[in-house]
Formats: sequence, structure tokens, C-alpha cells
Amino acid sequence: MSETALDRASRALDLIPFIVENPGISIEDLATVFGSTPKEITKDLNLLFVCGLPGYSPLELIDLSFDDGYVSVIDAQTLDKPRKLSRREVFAVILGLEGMTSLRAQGDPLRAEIEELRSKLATLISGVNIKIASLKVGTTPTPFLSHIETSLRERTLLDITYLSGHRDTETQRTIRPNFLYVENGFIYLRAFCLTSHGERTFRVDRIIELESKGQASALDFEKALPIKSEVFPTIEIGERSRGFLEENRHLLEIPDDFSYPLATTIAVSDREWLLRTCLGQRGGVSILAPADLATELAQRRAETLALYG
Amino acid sequence: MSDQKTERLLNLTIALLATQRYLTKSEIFQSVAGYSGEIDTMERMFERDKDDLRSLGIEIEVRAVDVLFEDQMGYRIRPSDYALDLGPITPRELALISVALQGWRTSALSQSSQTALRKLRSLGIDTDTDQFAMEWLRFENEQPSFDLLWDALEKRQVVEFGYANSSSPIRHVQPYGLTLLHGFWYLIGFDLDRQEIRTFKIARVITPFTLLKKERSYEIPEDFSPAKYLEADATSEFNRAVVHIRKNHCLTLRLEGEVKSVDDDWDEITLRYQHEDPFLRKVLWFGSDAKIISPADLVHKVKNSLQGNAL
Repeated sequence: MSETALDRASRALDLIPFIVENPGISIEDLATVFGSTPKEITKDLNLLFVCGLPGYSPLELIDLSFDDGYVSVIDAQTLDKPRKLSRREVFAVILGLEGMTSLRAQGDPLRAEIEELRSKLATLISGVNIKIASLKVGTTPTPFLSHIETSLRERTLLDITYLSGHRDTETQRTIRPNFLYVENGFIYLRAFCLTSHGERTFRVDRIIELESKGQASALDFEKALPIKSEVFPTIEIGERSRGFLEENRHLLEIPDDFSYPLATTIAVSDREWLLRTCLGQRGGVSILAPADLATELAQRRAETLALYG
Repeated sequence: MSDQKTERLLNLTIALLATQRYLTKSEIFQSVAGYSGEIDTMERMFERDKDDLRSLGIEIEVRAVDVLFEDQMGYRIRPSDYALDLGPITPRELALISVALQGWRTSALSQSSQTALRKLRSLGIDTDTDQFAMEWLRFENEQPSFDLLWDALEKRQVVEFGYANSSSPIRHVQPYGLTLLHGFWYLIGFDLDRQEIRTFKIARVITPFTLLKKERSYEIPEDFSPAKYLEADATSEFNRAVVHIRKNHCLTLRLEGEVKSVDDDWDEITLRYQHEDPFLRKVLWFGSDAKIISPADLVHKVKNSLQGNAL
């Protein structure tokens, strides 16, 4: 990576106030925080060492101490305060808060708090037209999000009623939440399901009832059943299903210069998900292997077609 | 070479920040370390340095230092323009901002969020982001970065790019806004070839963006906002489809409307939709447990595709 003089100046300007607030920080840690190497950071510090106010006598230079790889600022000259946020950084903050808001249901106390903070900041940040970008993370926010977060913090169990899209069933389960994540605009909860004795993924907006069950005991932490090593299905994606490819990139093997139709494996073990997805893609995605899965898809297509007489 | 320039930029910043009055160019050339050579060379250096610092967001104030000699300009950086000031901010608010920034861990804004986080951590306010249990936040799916497009938008430059799945592959667009929706970034802008506002999914741009040179080449309509534009689009026209669903099946579909019983095996639901493709995906997901009754052209499409005909 080639770094310009400007990139280095920018990092150097940010190093000083950071060290002022974290005196005695190690060069290793600085490198981690600044996404750089200890060697580069040392070079930056050596450079800062010879910078200062006109006159450039020892009293006018930036003064740092680095003892055995630990750094403190003795005299920052005029650079002790962090710089104002750049326009791009302002976008990251404001849009980020907007994104957090869009994930939370009306009435969630944190939602109101985030909205208030966003408008407070927006008035502070003059000169940046924040209107030019917007963000909506996803789906209908769910009222249960804050309950799940509480359960994650306090390590409690939850009783949930869940609509499984894959199996088209409604089930009652007791789960121990592990972590939340966002994908394609949906919030998912990865949890250990005590009812089915395994790690499961739940789409949070499909949890239709939820109740906290109190503290989890050691017994509840039994190990998930090992996932069988398996051969993933091979599919073919046609051009009209490019949206499918974009949304499932992380599951597919996509060469840099591919063209449609693309044959690839898909890293899913849930047959039901794949079959239903293929049905919905209306021929845009077909299953090449294994053969029994391809047959099953053909059969479901035929059954669906039979509805229409 | 690069070290010298970095050093000069730092010295210039320190000097302009420290000064109480406006420094003239000749004062700068005499006193700030790093300026040497012919006067023309130093002038060029200084002009570039000023532009560089401004590109970092550092505001340099310029003013005539003597009312009688208007061409004698002076320069300074006001400490209040330079330093980050978020007003009276609580540790909890700062923690929320940090969480928001961590949501950008993948592409487009990740670099900026890292630098912003470092600045916030230099404010000397202790924050505890764990209190929110929100380390899961991630706004974007993985997708190509598009820093250039931000530049184009901010500098009002026309962009040229190739777009997948279109009859006229090269597009010329005046960017009006960027929006992130369900994990994907979209560009909204005025399509110069079609003479109307259009939305482009950035993941479908097949050639690198090229920026046409001219800056400030267009204006974004005063009242334009991408959020409102998409909202208007989202509430424009809804279509309605009548679907029969098998009893005790299609559970997630049932959340979307009122369900009436048809006979012992089937219920009926009326669903709203905007675009056919996602709607058909949703209904066909349920295979032989859902049957579209109307409109007729949707029924026709489903039959055709199930028979294996191209659409």
C-alpha cells in the first residue's frame, strides 16, 4: 500500500491527541488502534519529534517520551486536541445513528434516545449537507430486540414462540441467546436451543412471543451437536437471478470474472431453505447436485403447477 | 521526499494554529521549517499544502492583512475551527456514537468510521459500549467500495459507469444521493441519457466509476432527499393479489393480511405488493401450499415458469 505524505500527516495529527489521552500507551497498541505497524508508528513519532513552532528550539518542539516502547506526550504544542470530524466521518456518525434507529421499534426507549442524539449532533455539524445520504437497515423493527439484548447482557434464557419460514411451522422453544447479527436487512439471533439441543438461527422479526425465563444454569450450556461434515449442493444461477447471487455472496464460490449462468457450490446444509428459495427464483436458480435434491425440486415444482390445473 | 512534505504540513498546521494574528506568506516562508528554494517554488508548495490541509477538513482562514494593500493576504487556523467540539456530551451518548460507528465494519464508510472513532477516543471521555450489547450491529453486506462516488456527490461531478442488465450499458449520472437499503447501497441521480431521476444498485455497476472532470457541474434540487424519494417510491402504487393458502400453512404470510376461510382445506388472503419478482418469490416459497388466484397475469407468469418456460 502506498501512503501519501498527506495520509501520514493526517495520522500524525491524530496520534498526538490520542497519546495525550492515553499516556504510556505502547507502540504496539498504537499500531493496532491506528491500523498500522509498530515500525510506521515509530517513524511517525520520530517525525513529530522534530516538528513544532517556528524557532524550533527544544522548547518549541513537540516533546514526547518513549521509554521501552511506551509513549507519552510531554508537550503537544498546539496539537493536543482531536481534529474536527471530516465530512465523511460526519456521514458515518449521522447515518450510523439513523441505522440504529431504523432497527428499533417505536416505543423502544433506546430509539428515542438515539433520535434525540442524532438531531442534537445534526445541529452541531454545520456545513455538511447530511441530506444527501440515507440509510434504512431493514425490515419492520421488532419490539423484542431490547429484550434479547438484555438477555445477552444478563445471560438469561428466553421462551419464544417462533414462526419458522423454512419449515412453515410454529414452535415453542427455550433458547440461550449467543449473538445477534444483521444480514440483508434482517436481524438474526444465533442461539442455543434447549428444545432441539443445538445451535439455531432465528430471524428476530419472526419471534412472535417472548418471555424471559431467568438466569441460565450451567446445565443449560450443553454442547451443540457437532455438525456433520457434508458435501454442499451445487447450483446453477442464471442471469435473471443476479439478486440471489448478490444477497448470498458469502455462501457461494464466485470467481472474479464469472459470467452467467454460473455453476457453484452453496454452503448451506438446510435443504428446505434451498428448495424453497429455488422455487421462488422460478427457474433462475437450479440444483445440479445432489441428484435427490434436484428430483425433490422438480417434484415440488410439479405439485405447485398442479394447483393451477 | 515524502517525509519532508509530511514534516512541512505538520509544521505549517502547528504554526497557523498557534498564531494570534494572520501570518503572511513571506512570514510563513521565513519562519516555518520546510519552505526553501526560489520564491515561485515556495509559492507552489504553499498552494498545494493549503489544498492538502483543506482536503483533511482543516479550515484555513484567509484575510487581507492590511486594508491599504488588499493583495497582501494573511493566513491562520482558528483553534475553534480545528478542534472537535461535540458540545456538552455525556459518556453514554459518546458510547452510542461509538456503537453507531462500529456498524460500518465492512466497506464504504469503514475507513472514516475508524478515524472518527480514534478522534472520539481522544476526547478524554470514558465510554462503555458494552452497556448496549450491540457489538452485532452491521449495516452493509459485503460489497465493492465506492469512495469515488462520495467524492462525485460532494463535488457535484457527473459519473460515468457501466450498469449490468441494461440496454444502454454506459450511463452518465448526476449523483443526487446515496442510500443504504437492506444491506445494499444505491445511487440516486439524474440519468443524463434518460433525462430522469433513476436509482442504481451499486453492486450492479460493472465498470469502475469514472468521474467527469468538471466540478460543481450541476445542482441537486433544493427539496431533494433520498429518503423521501424512496419513500414516495415505496408508497406509490400498491397492487393487490388474492392468494389461497392451505390451512395451518404459510404462517409467515398470514402475518401480512386478514385471513378468511374458503373451505376445509383453504384460506384466502389479500396481499399488497409493489414489484412482481419479490412478491412471486415470497409466494412460491410455500410451493403447493399457496395458490395465486388473481391478478390473472401473475397466475400466467407462475404457470409459465413452473412449466419451465423462459419469462
